[in-house]
Amino acid sequence: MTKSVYDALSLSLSYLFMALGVAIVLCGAAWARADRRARKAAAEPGAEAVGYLKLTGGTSKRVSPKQRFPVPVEGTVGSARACDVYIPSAEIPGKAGRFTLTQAGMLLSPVVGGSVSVNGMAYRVPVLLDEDSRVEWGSLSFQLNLLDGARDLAAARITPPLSDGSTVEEEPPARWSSRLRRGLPLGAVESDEPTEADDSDGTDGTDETDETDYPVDTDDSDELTESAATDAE
Amino acid sequence: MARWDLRQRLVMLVMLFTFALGMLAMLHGAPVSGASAVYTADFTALLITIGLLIMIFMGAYLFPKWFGADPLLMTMMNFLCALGVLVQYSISRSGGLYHALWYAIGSILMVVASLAVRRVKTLRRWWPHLAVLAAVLLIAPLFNTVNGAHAHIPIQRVTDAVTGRSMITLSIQPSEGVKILLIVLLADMLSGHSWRPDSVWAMGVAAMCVGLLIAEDDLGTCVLYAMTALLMFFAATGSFTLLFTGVAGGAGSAWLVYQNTGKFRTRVEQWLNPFMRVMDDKGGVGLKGYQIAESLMALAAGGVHGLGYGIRDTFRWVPEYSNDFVFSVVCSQFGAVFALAVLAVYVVILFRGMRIAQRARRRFHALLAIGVTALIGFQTFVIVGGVVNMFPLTGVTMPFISQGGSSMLSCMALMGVLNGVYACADQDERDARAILGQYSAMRSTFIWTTREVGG
Repeated sequence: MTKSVYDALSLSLSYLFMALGVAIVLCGAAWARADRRARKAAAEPGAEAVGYLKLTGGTSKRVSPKQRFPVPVEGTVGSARACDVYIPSAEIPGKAGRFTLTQAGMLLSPVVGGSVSVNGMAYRVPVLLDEDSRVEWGSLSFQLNLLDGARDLAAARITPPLSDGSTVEEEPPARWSSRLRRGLPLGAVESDEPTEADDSDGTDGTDETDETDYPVDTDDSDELTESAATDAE
Repeated sequence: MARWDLRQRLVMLVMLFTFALGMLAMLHGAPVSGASAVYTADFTALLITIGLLIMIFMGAYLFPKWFGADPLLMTMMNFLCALGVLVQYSISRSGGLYHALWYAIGSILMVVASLAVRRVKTLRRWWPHLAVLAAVLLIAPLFNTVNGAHAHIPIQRVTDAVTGRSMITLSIQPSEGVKILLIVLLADMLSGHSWRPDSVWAMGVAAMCVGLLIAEDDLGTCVLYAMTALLMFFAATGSFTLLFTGVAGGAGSAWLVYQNTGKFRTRVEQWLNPFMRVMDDKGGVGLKGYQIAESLMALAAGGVHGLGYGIRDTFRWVPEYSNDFVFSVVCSQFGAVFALAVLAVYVVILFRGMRIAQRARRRFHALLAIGVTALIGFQTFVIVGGVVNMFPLTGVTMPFISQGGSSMLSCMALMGVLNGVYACADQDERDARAILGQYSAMRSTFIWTTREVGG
């Protein structure tokens, strides 16, 4: 091939490269966007915020006044990054508790051995937060605001399918129901052990909880037995 | 025929681009003699193209499957690497082959880095060792001068047969490796809470690295280190006071360096007046900012659509066109629109990196991703800004495209770190979902029991 032919070919192909470059960028951006949306949708049914915790009292270096923390249907709350409601404050334990939306309101379960103060009263068992309930950790005070329709969502979610595909209308696993019939509080099913972060030493303990892996394949029956024994004592 | 999803479309586009460019590289070959010579087909280019296509496919499909890498990040990175290899090949055959070699070695390093991130929980007991290693690596080049800076350690020297001068043909730049060390150290030290002794340690290590780079006269890398460290401190503490103090300190240091370093002052003067005519040492007239002026002329010659791959007429006078000024070559050959698309690919990588940092459920991983993303972003910004005369030129490489083994290896290792964080975030998300699934089942059982039993 002579130089002049190559130059002409190269120049004409430069339009193709230009078009391909633009197409690659657009396609990459579209993929990134679609991936973000897909992850958001697949995270957990109803993972979108159903309300928010608003800082109403106290000051913290990394929490601005009146800052709002979106609260999904269920998850964990604490100062560890791994928590679903992540409040970066030294006043709050790494994992302060777990919450679940019910028809009656938001059910907040403190971690085993921990406590939570709601409307000025300290609780060591699950407590139902109503609209405008005040939750306190240390000197920080938060107000829960549920969005319109949040309870309807809870009603729709009252019988979600179990992991094996069945629903709770069918016979549940015997080992859970027998223990629950004995009147164990809901907090007894918590699998979280108290960490150093939960000690009231003025630190939030994010260091410790950040390094804690989620227990995935734990044996439920053993956990429940241990928890029940702890509660019985 | 089934509709292609976005991944398939993107991979096909990147492969089509690489194939077309590779075929052009093969046709270009090398002129047999003179300017009007007949070009001969170059089958080495064909082999390189096949290798690049395999790497693109592996990056998009096999690496995500085997190592949990992010397919989008891998595809975009492979696009830049393929472009880099073929652009370097158009500049010089040996340069292109070396770039392809470093790309292959870098891919292995990337996998190693990715797996290491997934295994390492903390490096606390290794802090002193890593800090000393960083110091040694930065002190080592102080005793050698390559291209007017003390940033390289020469490995191979060749004596020119005509002039009798000794030339360095192979050297390593330890500061490229220290980049990774610095990010890992800072991420680990700052993954605790702010204003503890760990943060003081982190500040000490960052200050030591920046100080040694100033001593090396490697101002470009020094700026990168300082900006990345500052951003990581800000991400870890959220303190605007610290950010502004750092920016003010950096500006003050830049002023001091400007006052006391002739090299930096010259760079600023070249930036301000690149086309000013000055007398050179031999009594001739030249341009004050010769490098930038030639670079700008190459950019202008490229125009909107470029002059075509392999056309060297416009950039052959640009100095250091295979490393510092490679963006001028891209603009000259492919045009402004394609060059903007290349910059947009970097932006996609940066957004992806920030997204990975957001998704990371551990502080160490989040800071790692922020550090890597910031470093690649700043590096691209600094060199492209220098080439288009937006601010004073500093000698850093353009990630994945510029020639240079140390740079290529460090960039690939950084992408490995980012992919490792991505894989960890994915695993953590799956675990969290499994836990929530278990809890949801228990709660449903509780509700069922209270309804049935009346408790």
